[in-house]
Amino acid sequence: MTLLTRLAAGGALSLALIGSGRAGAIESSEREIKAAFVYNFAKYVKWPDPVAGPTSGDPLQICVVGSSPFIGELETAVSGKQVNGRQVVARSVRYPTEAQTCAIAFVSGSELSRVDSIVQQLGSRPILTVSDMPSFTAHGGVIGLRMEQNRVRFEVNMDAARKAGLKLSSQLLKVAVQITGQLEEPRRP
Amino acid sequence: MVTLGKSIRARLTVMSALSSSLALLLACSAFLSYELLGYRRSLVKDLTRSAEVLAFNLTSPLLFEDPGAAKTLLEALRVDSRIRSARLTRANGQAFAVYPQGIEGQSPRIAPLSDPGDGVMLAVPVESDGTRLGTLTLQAGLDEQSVRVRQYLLLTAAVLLASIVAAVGVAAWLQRRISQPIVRLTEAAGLVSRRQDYSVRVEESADGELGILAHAFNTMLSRIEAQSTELKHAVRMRDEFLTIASHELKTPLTPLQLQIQTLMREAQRDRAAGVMRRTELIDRQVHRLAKLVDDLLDLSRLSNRKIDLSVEVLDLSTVVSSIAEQFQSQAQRTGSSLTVVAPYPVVGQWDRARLEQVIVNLISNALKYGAGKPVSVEVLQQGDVGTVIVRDAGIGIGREDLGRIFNRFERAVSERHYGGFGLGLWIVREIVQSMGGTIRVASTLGEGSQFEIELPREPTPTGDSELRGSTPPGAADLDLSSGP
Repeated sequence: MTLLTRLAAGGALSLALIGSGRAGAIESSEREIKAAFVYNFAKYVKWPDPVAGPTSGDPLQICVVGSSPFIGELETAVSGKQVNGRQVVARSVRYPTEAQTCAIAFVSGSELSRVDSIVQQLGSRPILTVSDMPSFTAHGGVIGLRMEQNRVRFEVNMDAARKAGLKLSSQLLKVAVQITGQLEEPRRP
Repeated sequence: MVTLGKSIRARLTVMSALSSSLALLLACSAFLSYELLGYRRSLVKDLTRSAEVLAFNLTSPLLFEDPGAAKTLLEALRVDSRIRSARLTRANGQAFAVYPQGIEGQSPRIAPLSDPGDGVMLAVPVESDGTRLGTLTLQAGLDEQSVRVRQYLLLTAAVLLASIVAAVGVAAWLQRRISQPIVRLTEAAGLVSRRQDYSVRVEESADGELGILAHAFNTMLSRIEAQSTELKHAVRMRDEFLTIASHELKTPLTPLQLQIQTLMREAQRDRAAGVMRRTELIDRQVHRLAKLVDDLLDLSRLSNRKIDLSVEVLDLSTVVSSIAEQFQSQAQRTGSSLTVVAPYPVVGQWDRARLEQVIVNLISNALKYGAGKPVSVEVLQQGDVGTVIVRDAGIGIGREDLGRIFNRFERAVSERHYGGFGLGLWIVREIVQSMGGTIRVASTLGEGSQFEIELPREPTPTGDSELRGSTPPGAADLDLSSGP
């Protein structure tokens, strides 16, 4: 059973595991779900061409910035997967400067103190910044993951997406719990 | 006039209404069948399209674990009244979202496509990049179809009504085109048969068979009219000839009769028995000749409808008795007994000469056809009517001949055995009718005849003696029911 189908099978699984009280398993399961979310975001984001490499044939890179065990779950989630005919790969980077060719940058919770600097470095590039740290979108990140009633939910910062030159699908916005910023490009006289 | 139930117009109306209704019903049945068959097909098509669009949209709620968003999407199905329920299940069969709210408890039935009679059930997969995330199941009812069928039937009924109205209109138009010429022909034919007016013509405006019919009708009338004119001319010629001939014949007869009377007186005086006998013989023959000529004269007079009656007060019994007296010698010669029953005077106002002519005719007929058998004459008064009944026990008249004995030149027996022109009874009837009276005959072949005349005692101011001559032949007042 792939992670995706497991995820599709449901929040019920995660709830059951949470209910079991085994903390390590809970965190692992939560990371699995978040990894699936991050992979799925790729399906609903349109990057300005070409983002992640000189040719469209290049693999679409999802990078984890900072030190985090999350890379393990992400590698499992994207293993053998494609988005729009492009292979998806997971990569771990130490510094934001190494994330220039990434399509999605997941900022680990360990980088909380440097978040503003990271966002500043990556924010003007066509990179979808995602993090599960609190108030990530308030810091200028595009998508922030959060837990709500034991479910993984996410919020979107439209201004940040626009600054990065990303177009987010309405399908994605439909399931977001909170959207900040202007939905549409401000009209210029 | 023709009755509506059988008139051509009514038939045309019924025919056109029936044919248009039939055509319409057939067409409507065909459309309805198509509708019934096509509705389910188009419903499945619509439903599949809706389900596929919805399944695409339901991908992100399934991927991002958002049943609320899925419910909101399913709620959008509200705009399609045909859809009764929808259910989104995960790949493992677990329910994710349902529409309408509150049917979570029901077990999901997932089938590729099934028709449970009253509706359609359809299931489509929800996929993302070739991976099946779940299944969307839609269920739609056929309620709308029955509504549509009902509307269809209503529309059919309305159109049917309109077509019947139109058919009546068409029939009215056809009536002018078809039945009007026929009605005109019918009316013309009725006019011809009623008035015998052959100058009637119908308009030959119609085309086709009706035009041919009208033309043939007119041609036929023209021929009949020509023949009728010719016939009338021939009859007039005959009557003129009869008038002239009878006058010419009568002229030498009167002096001849006077000479015979003189001769008879001289023979009696000279006691020349031989001469006397021969003279009497000549006298009888001359009388007979005079009678024939008189009949011919009457014929021409009556044919021209000229009977002048000069009435006076008479006793019918006396008149009948005196005439019978004159016939006694003839009765003796033929071996008949002639009895008169006239017990009381029957007084009235009649034309003596014409009355005598009637009685003479009836008695001489009775003696002629009842020779050797008793003849009786009875005179009665019945209220305002004087009645004379003449009975004989002679050869009688056959039932089939009774109707024509009062016609001119008709007789019930061959002229070889019984002489005369066959004018006697016709003259009698004409005179009796001109007096306002009636004549009846009852007879049995081989047993004898009974003639009964009834004459009003006061002259009836009918003035229709002029019209009597036109009474159709054989229309005499016959009493055929009472045989002797």
